[in-house]
Amino acid sequence: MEEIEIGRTGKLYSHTISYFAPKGFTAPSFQAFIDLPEGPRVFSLIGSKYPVERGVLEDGMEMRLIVEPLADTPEHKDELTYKYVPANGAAR
Amino acid sequence: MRDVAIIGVGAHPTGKFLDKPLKALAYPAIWGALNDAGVMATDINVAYVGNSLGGLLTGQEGVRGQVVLQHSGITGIPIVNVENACASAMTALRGAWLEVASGAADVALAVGVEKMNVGDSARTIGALSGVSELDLSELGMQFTTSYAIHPKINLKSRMEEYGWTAADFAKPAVKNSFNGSLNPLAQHRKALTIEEVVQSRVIVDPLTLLMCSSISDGAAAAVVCSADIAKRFSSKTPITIASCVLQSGVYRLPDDTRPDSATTSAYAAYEKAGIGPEDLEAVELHDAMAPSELMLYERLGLCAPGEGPKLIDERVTTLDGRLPVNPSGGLCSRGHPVGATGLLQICELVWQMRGEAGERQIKKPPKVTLAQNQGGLLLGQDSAVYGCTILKS
Repeated sequence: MEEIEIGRTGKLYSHTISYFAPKGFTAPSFQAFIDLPEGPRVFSLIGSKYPVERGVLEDGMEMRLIVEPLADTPEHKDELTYKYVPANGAAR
Repeated sequence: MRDVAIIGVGAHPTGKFLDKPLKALAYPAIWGALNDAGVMATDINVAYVGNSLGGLLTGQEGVRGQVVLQHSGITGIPIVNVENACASAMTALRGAWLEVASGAADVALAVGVEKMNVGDSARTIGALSGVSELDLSELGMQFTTSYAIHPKINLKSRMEEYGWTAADFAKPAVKNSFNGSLNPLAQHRKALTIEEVVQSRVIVDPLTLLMCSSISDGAAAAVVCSADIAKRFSSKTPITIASCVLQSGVYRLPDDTRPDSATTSAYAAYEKAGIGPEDLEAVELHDAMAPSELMLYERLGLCAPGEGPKLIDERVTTLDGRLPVNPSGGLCSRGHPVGATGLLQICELVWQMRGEAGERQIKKPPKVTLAQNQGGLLLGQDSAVYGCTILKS
């Protein structure tokens, strides 16, 4: 086992929109898996500036890592996490 | 190892029972199984009790098995509590089977019980998030996502590769809702149409409400004993456990080419039972979301990749088909009280094999059957638990 540092880039493997959420999270929300150039495929939420609609993301697109609050809710607004956003802006 | 027979099964109906605690749900299942087997409480040497969410949802964090069994009048014997997410009950059965197969016990009891309705569905959904590795659920991953876009069951890629449509995803739900409509123990008893399933509310794109199993309460139990003493208790057709396999998920990178864990656990079960998928005459499988039944057809070796919808179109897996799948109604229709599901599957197969399944009875009672049960989610593309049991009569 060895620790490696990851960069800020990745590729969108697949994504969907969830229309329900457990306590502390909001719906609708993007749910996504990102393939990292370092090897792993990771789960990620998508940066909150992007409207949660079909067509905003496209599987295979280049993504960029950002850091922002986990959710805009009393439970998670002060908790920072990684999320990914499209590297060159939304698909549309 | 000794041959092990299932001599009695029992179940509580599946549904919403707000006023019933775990022990009240389990009682009719346990006594149903004991009476069916013709054994007395004092005949039971050891018991395994499966439950997944009871700690979080009821507050009874420890000794749930002892609490449940004491209420049913079974005390003093070794009682093992089993938590293995949606495969808790199949894991409990494996414990009971192993006790008898090894010779440590002659008669053992397996119980699965779950209470998910607590009057606050957000709490229930939160508890379900806890059966995924926290590194996933704490990041906001919904459990349902694992059935929509998770790499192990990426429905979008199936649409692209094989031309599957929303109507294909709905087919297992339609087939199973018909079976469930004939099952007095089922939670949802309305036979659905493709249109109703496709047009129901989207939960996690492309899964709609009627493609998803719902929040349920329920319980099931089975009494197993050494096959050579089965006749001492019961004159009913003894059902032999030909294999009972439990596996855990493996960590996979995206380029992993090893077979899926549902496949490896099923083929381990086939090998131990000395059969192949072509020998099966009925199957109960883990259709937590309807399209996962199509994926599992492939993984259990019932069809070639991409051909799942054809098995339903050609009426192979319908109740009147060559290989009925989910005659009980499956998880979407019969219901999915998570820690009870594996034993609800076993109950159904035993009733079908004995010819006791009432209106939903498969015309020629099946002699070789398989139950497939899985649960939980880990980082690295796999479910946490895979269980597969093959029965012969």
